[in-house]
Amino acid sequence: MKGHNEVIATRFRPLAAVVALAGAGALALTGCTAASNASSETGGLEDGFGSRSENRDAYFFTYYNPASDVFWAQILNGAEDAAELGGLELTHQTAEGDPDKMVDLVSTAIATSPSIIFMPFNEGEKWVSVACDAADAGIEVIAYNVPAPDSAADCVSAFVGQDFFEVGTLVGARLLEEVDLQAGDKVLFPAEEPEQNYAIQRGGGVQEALDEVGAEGEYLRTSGADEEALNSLTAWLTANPDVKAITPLGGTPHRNIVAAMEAAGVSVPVVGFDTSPQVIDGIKNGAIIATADQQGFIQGFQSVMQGVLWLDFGFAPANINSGGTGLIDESNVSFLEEDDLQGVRF
Amino acid sequence: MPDTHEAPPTEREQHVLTAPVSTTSIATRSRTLSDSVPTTFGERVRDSIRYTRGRGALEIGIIFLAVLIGFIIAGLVAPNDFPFLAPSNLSGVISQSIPVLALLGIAAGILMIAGEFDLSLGANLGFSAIVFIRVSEEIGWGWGVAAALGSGIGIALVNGLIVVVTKIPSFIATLGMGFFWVGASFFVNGTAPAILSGAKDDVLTTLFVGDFGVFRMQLVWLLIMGVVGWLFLHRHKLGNHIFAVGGNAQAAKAISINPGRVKLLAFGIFGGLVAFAAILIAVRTNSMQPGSTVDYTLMAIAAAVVGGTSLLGGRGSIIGMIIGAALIRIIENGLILAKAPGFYIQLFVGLIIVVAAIFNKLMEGKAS
Amino acid sequence: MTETTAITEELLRVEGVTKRYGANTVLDDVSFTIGRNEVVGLLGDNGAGKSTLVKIMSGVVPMTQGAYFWEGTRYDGIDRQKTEELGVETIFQDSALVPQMSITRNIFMGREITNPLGLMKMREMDRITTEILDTVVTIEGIKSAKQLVGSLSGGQAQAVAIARAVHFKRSLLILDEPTSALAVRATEALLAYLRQLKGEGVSSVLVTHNLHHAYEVCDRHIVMNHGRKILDVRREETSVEELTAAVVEGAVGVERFRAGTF
Repeated sequence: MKGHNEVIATRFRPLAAVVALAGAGALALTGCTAASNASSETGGLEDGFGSRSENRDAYFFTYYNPASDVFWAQILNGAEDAAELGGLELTHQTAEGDPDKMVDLVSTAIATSPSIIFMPFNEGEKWVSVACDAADAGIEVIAYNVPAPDSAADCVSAFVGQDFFEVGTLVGARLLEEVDLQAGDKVLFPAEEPEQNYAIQRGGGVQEALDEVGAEGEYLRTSGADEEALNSLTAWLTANPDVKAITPLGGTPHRNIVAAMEAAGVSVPVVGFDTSPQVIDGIKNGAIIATADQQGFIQGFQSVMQGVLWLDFGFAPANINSGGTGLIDESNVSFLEEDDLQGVRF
Repeated sequence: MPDTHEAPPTEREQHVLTAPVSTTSIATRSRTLSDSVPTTFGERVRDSIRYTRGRGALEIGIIFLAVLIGFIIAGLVAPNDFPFLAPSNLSGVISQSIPVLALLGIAAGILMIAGEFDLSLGANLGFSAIVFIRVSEEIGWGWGVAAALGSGIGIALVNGLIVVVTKIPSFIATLGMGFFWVGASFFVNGTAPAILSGAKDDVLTTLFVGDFGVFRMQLVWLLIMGVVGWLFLHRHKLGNHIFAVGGNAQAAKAISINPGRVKLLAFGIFGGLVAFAAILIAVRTNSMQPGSTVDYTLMAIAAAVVGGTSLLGGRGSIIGMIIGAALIRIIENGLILAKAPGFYIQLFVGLIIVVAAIFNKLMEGKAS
Repeated sequence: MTETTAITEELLRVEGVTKRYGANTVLDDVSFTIGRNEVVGLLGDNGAGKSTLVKIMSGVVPMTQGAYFWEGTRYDGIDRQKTEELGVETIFQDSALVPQMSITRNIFMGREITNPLGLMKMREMDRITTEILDTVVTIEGIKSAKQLVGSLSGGQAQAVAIARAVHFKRSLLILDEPTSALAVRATEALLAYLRQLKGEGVSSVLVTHNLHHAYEVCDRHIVMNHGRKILDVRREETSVEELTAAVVEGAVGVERFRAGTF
């Protein structure tokens, strides 16, 4: 698949931007019905993997449109690869960020009696009842990206995605490996919105690791805007030159942290979350030690693969932390830049 | 029903409005207005202070000065605990953060004086920055600047046309268009940030973010825009029409000012300023993440309101808007420098905005 | 119906003016003339069509049918821009001025004195304003041309609006309920002032509820009822009682008054 950024570059014509925008409407209209079928030739493996079960229809729902969203494109690529290997007739539909549309899409899918539905739970409770309708109809429901709320425990069999807290402990452990932190040392935890779940979970995980030596994390709100993040990060670093390390909990502080350290004349080790071109640059030139990647491809691939194992062999799906136990650092950052891995790794 | 009509007043009494009955006589009274026109320097100063009161800028300006002086003293006394005057704070934060918010505050403020809002400010800002980066990377930053200004003004004018032609309240129309342009940013750019790299040469850097030790080029731009904006809004006849339309559109119309055209003009200026702020942001951060600029909408309106701009139209000043933005920014900065807990900084800033707005409302009553 | 006696010199004439909003006819075939040096009272109850007529005379609202003549010349598609050129000034009830702006800026609103760049000459405008306020109309209690109109009393603001009209040498002044915001004595002064303006060649149309005010000052009275003109009579030929009958009961009221049964 062609790299996402390239696709954009050829689509974008400065003087024809408006024309392109007119197209946005058309795309939005077709988006919900755009389906891509990864069909399998009959066959599969000798033991029955990929062929044993009769009903091989499955639905893969994305919340955001992979056509315009790199991260969701990685997820879908993984799902399609797994479907092809496992001989699933996978139908992809996207809600394009519209919570109500997701409900409509799932309800409609139930009527066609597929064997499995793969869906994320970005809007939590809102999608529980429709997921349980599917389960009541005998359809297996597997969650990915965002886990289902507790109220859906009986309807959703497994979740594949980043475990924020667990990844946080990994990031914290890596920080302790790289930096000699002492009791009372100050570590900055900048986040777009520190009171949101992702920041609390990730920060909590990091702090748990730091508790081992007694270092203390300090939260700082940066907002999602780059300029605002630069303002607050630079000011904080100016006021706290004694900071020992930085763990950006989200993409915005992470991609601005190198510039802020330069502006404030501070230089300390950074291990953080999420990837972006700026973070890749930072890792390459040594300003950032490592980052935890959500590994979107795995979220799609593993959820669908577990579906195949359940379908053909009846294996119970498991919760999988798609972030794995590894971080992206100098040693493996090149994967993110390889042309033939665009859409898979980045 | 009484059948006698009252005799017209034959003698001039102490009326609020007195008019001589005779067609030739002109009122001659002991004290006329020209007598109270100030002549000495002192009188002139007192006169201009009296007629600056309650118009937004003066009172909040005094508060801003007090805060600023306090910060400077604290910075001098305890340079380590409160490094307000550290070059990395002045040049790295203050002189870059204030101009952007001030330009956006002026943009929102001028539109508010005309009696309209544009809630797509943040979306327009993000989209124009992406246009700037993309075009700059493809054919050079000169074109990028032109394209960004074109996009910012164009988006605002479309909003203006919708509001003026359909008479839909600008709250709703621009809120809807805001969603549209955020979506459009994702559409033209994808979810990864647009990156400014190859197109950023020394000239571009110096022109928009040049570092002069304790201040940055953005501050120079604010000064230029502030003076031009003041001349336009407070001294140009078109600025006068903006006040007239926002204050009382019926009265303006009765005097043959076309309110629709004046509002479109305000939307156009708004768009130009938003696009310029977008360029300043993009050159500073070297990137623009689609969907990340929505917060700027209400921050800009807050800056204008803190600076004494009326939410109902017809009232506000360029100096006030700049001071409003500066006050918000230095308080934000001061809270971080003073090591206020990161969770609560927004809480304090929100509180200050509300208090300043209430303060301005009280001061408004003192206008003469 | 009483036909008017000859008007010395015709300033504004409208013929067969009809205004409809959808199926609703607000004005029905209204014709009249306003002469130079005349003060005309435009009377009628709420909903009689007075304000629509004012808006049509001042060009703010287009008429559905009818003709507009100025000094005998017919103008089609009249709008505010045109009436402005002709010299019509309308002082709408409560809405003639911008309260958030200074007196000077209100007086020169839309007619600013500027340099070639369009920048206003504030000093000159302040000076002229001070002069106007001292000479054309004298207004008690105003301290400076820089004062906000919003800080003035209703009467003072009304006076500023009138000063503006006079300064710019308007030929026809239309006042929509000017006395509603005024104290008694200010009203008297205003009425006296309208007579003075007449001597200076400015005609006025006074739209009012208050028949006594109108009768006191107007040379002629036009009474509207349900969108039609029912009376157009010189002052000498009528009385407050007849006007009252016309306003309250329309054409029937006039007949009954003349038959002595009102």
